[in-house]
Amino acid sequence: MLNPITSNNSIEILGKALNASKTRMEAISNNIANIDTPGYKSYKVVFEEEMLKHKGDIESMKTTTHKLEITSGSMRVDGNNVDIEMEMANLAKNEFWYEALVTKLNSDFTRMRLVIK
Amino acid sequence: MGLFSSMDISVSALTTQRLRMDVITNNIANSDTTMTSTGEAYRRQVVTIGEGSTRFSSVLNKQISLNGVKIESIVEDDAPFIMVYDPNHPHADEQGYVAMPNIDTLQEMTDMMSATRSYEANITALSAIKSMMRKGLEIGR
Repeated sequence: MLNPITSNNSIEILGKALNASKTRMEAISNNIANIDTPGYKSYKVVFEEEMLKHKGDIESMKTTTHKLEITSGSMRVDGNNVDIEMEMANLAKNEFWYEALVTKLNSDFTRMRLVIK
Repeated sequence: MGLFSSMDISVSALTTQRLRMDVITNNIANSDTTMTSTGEAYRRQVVTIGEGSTRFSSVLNKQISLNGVKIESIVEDDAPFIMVYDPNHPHADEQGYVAMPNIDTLQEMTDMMSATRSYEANITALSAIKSMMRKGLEIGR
């Protein structure tokens, strides 16, 4: 029988999401930093699609990790494909997502503490 | 690593845009300089911007590494000087023309707006990273 204190599904999956969010932050800040760099292609983190593939299957969700990928194609003369409005929106979304994950993680820990007492 | 390197990335952009701004303001300040130590009028300077240098550790680990941005070089613009007819000018040549710097103030102002906008976007990114780091400290508290 799985011990709910040491192997908690929610906490493991939240951990994966937190890692994805952290890497996504790196990708977004790199994109924003390079909005003027000629030939630069923006980076993105693939995570939600990976998780969706394992819909309903908790065990494989726990082993899914995010992927850092580079995009291609450009509409601009200098070959740069960073869409600044998109990046700023993603920045806000990602920050909010990270804080929501931390809040949920803390409430899981609090619940576990209550059980231990 | 992680969020600390996100901060380094944003900071590299701030440094880059500030240096670019310095070059632009130098151009504007010297838009009437008809004689420099090279013996010619002031030549417009431009920056070339590129991605930051890759850390060797990421090449070793075969990871994609996100390196921010840097100024690759500051070069002079080859465009010809603007010749203005003014025979009484102390720097006029034999035909009475003075070579004025090849600076278009409108172009410089546009570049300045672009640099300012980039700088502000990166400040916003930096604030978001700081919020995330602060929130991250709350895990398990």
